[in-house]
Order: sequence, then structure tokens, then C-alpha cells
Amino acid sequence: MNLAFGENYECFAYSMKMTETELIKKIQELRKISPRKDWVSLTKSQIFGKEPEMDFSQNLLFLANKLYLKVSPIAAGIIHPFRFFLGEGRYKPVLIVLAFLFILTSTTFVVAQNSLPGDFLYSLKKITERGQSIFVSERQKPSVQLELVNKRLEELAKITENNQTKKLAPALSEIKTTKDTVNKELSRIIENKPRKEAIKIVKEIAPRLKEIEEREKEVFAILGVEPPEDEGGEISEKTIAEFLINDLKNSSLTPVQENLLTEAEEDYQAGDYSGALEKAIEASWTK
Amino acid sequence: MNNPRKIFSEIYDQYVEKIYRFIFLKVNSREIAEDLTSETFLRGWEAFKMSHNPTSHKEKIENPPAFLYQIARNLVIDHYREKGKAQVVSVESSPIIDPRTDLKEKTILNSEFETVRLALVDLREEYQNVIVLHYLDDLSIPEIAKMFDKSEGTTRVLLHRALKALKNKLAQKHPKLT
Repeated sequence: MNLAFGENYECFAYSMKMTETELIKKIQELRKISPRKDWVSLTKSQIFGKEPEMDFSQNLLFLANKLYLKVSPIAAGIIHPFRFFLGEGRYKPVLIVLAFLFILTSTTFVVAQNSLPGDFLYSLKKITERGQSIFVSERQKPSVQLELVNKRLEELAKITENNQTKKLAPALSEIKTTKDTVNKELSRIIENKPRKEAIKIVKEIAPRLKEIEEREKEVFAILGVEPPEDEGGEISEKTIAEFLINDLKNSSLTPVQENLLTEAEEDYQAGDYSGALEKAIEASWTK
Repeated sequence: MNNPRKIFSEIYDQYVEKIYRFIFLKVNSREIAEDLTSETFLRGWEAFKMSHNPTSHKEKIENPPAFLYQIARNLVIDHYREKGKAQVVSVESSPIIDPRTDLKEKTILNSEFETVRLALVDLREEYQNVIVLHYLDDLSIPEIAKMFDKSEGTTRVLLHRALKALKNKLAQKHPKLT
């Protein structure tokens, strides 16, 4: 209740000679007395939560509607047409069970997508990612895997931001594992694919690889640690840079491309594989 | 479809603020008002459920809002009986914590709101109730009459007398102003 303090003495004296209308107006100001909104909702749930009057299927429908509209709009669109059948008929028990399982799966799936390394549902997230990668073509696999590295980096960034120290170790482990997978795939492409095809794939992923390497440095800089070493050596930047430089050497180049190639080679010789890769990518894409 | 839960839920939504205010004006404490209001609705709901149960022999509650007000009044009475307190803690009877004795300063600090509230709770109960129900809770004369089992004419007269009593009470509290 908000009390109005500090009324003027003279103003109040005037109100003492008030008419009935004025008095009623003063009385009606007492309407300011009202309960807290959160208390009202809590009390209502306490009173009506004791013994629900709706039958089981009505409760389930109510819950399904509330949950779906918040968590899964697509699922709500699917379930909603069936709500009329859920109220009656011999299919009611089956549809109720199906609806319930669908709600459970859908909600679990959504929650899993937002989980982080170390969380209970994280393994479900990984399984989903693996499942999705089954339907990816061989040519697109390196790109998809690179995106997974990026996802792992973003997870690490979130963990760092929220100071969730317990999740650091699993997150770092996940990044290492995912990078190893990318490296293995790139090695396989370079070693086994026809050169022309390998060059095409490498050229496609090289810019994205560079971005992700930069992002990795950013994230680890905030963390104050060195990025983990790739298994079997620095395959990503060095190998890709070398691959692109060799491809450029065997191609006819414009003067601009020639200059960029020279700079890329100098960087490579100096051990600056990141610089070499950047210039090699630029030379590859410059016309 | 006659769903008692749905019906009472609507009654709750419509009357929770009114019942709360009705109780608060009598007890002047948010915590106590909340406790008594939730108790009012709990008891009201139990009784309402029973009355709608075909197997129970309880009479149907014809006027649930009136029933709730009755429960609220009884709970307030029980509360004071337990606590052994006076119903009204007026400015004059409260312990003097504020050493200021200057009337002008005190009046500035006391709002019109608080003064009207205190004057209202100082009235006899039936005057208090009829003013609150009619002017704050927007119940009509016929509704109030039905609630207290009086005729409409009697209720109208009661309301008029209640207003006059309140006006006199306000004047009494500040005799220098009349």
C-alpha cells in the first residue's frame, strides 16, 4: 500500500468542509490498498493446486498447451489440431500418451541444444550433432566439422563469461576432440582425393578456417591460456597454407596474385603460418 | 458445463483484491491481511466444493461473494480475539514515539489517506462495512442488502448514516478545523 505523505495543512483544512461527493472521493482513494500481484498468483496456485478438478486428460492438455506454446511453437502447431480428438473417442488414451511423449522429447531436445560441456544433457546434444552429420555429403563434411569447432569455441566463451570453472576442463577437451576430427578429415582429403577436388574443398574451407583460428585465439586470450595443440602437429594452418601455396605456384597468376604469393611464401618460411594462410587465401580468391 | 473450480477461480480473480482490502482496513497489516485473505478463500473454496458435490448434503452457496465477506469478517474477529488487541489503533491511542508535539507538523506528515482510513475503521462495524462494500467494492444497494439480509430501504438509510458518521468522525479528529 502506498501512503501519500506530506499533504498540505491548508489543503486538508479545506477538505473538512467537504461535500458528500468530496467525501466519497476521499473514501475511494482507499482503493490504493491492494494486494501484491505475486502474492495473488501464489495464493491462487496454493488454493487450486491442492485438488485439481480437471480430469487427467484435461490437465495434460492444459500442460501440453502451456509448454508447447513456450517451448516449441512447431510442436504446438502439430498437436493443436488433435486437441479436439483428445477430448473424446477411443483413440484418446493413445493420443494422450503420444502427445506426452512428444512433449517430453521436444522439450528435452530444446533444452539439450542449449547445454554446455559438463551438463547432463550435453551428450544428447553431441548425439544430435553426430546424427545430423550422417546426412552431410563428403564434400561438405570439413565445413560442417569446422562449424562444430566454432560451436565448441562459443560454448567455451559462454563458460568463461559465466565463470563456470567446473565446465572449463570438459569444454577444452571438447575443443581438442573436435579440432582433431577436422584435422583428420582434412588430412584424408589432401591424401586421398584427386588433387583438383582436394584444392577445391580446401579453398572453400580455408577462409572459414582462418576466421575460426582467429576466434580461437580471442577466446583463449580471455581465458588466459594457450589453445590446445592439435594431435599430430599443426595441420590446419600450416598444411592448408602449404597446400594453397603449391596450388598457386602451379597456376597462372596476375601480378597482384604473384605479389601475394611471394608474401605468403616469405611468411611460411618465417614460420608465420597464419600470415601465410591469410595471404594464400587472398591470392586464391583474387582475380 | 458446471465446473466448480472454474467458477470459484473466477470469483477469486474478481474478489481477491476486495476481500484483501476489506480485511486490511480492519487489521492494518499487510502480512496479517494476506494470511487472513488466503484463509478466507481456502475456506470458501472448501465450502464451495462441498456444496457442489452431489453426494454431499450441504446446501448450495447461493451468494459466494457474500459468503466470502462473512468468512473474512469472522476471521478478523477471531484474529483479534486471539491477539487480544483493540480493533483500531488510532493516532491518539498509539504510543508516542514521535517526540514532536506541534499539531501542524503532525498533520503535514499524516496524509489525508491515512486520516480517512483511521476514521473509517473507527466507525461501528456495520457502517464501516456498508461504506467499504458500496464505495470501494462497487457493490450495489440490492447486493449489500441481500448480503446482510436487510431490505434495500434499510440499507440505503444505513449507508447515508454511515457517511454522516464518517464525516463527524473526521471532524472529531480535527476539532480545530471545524
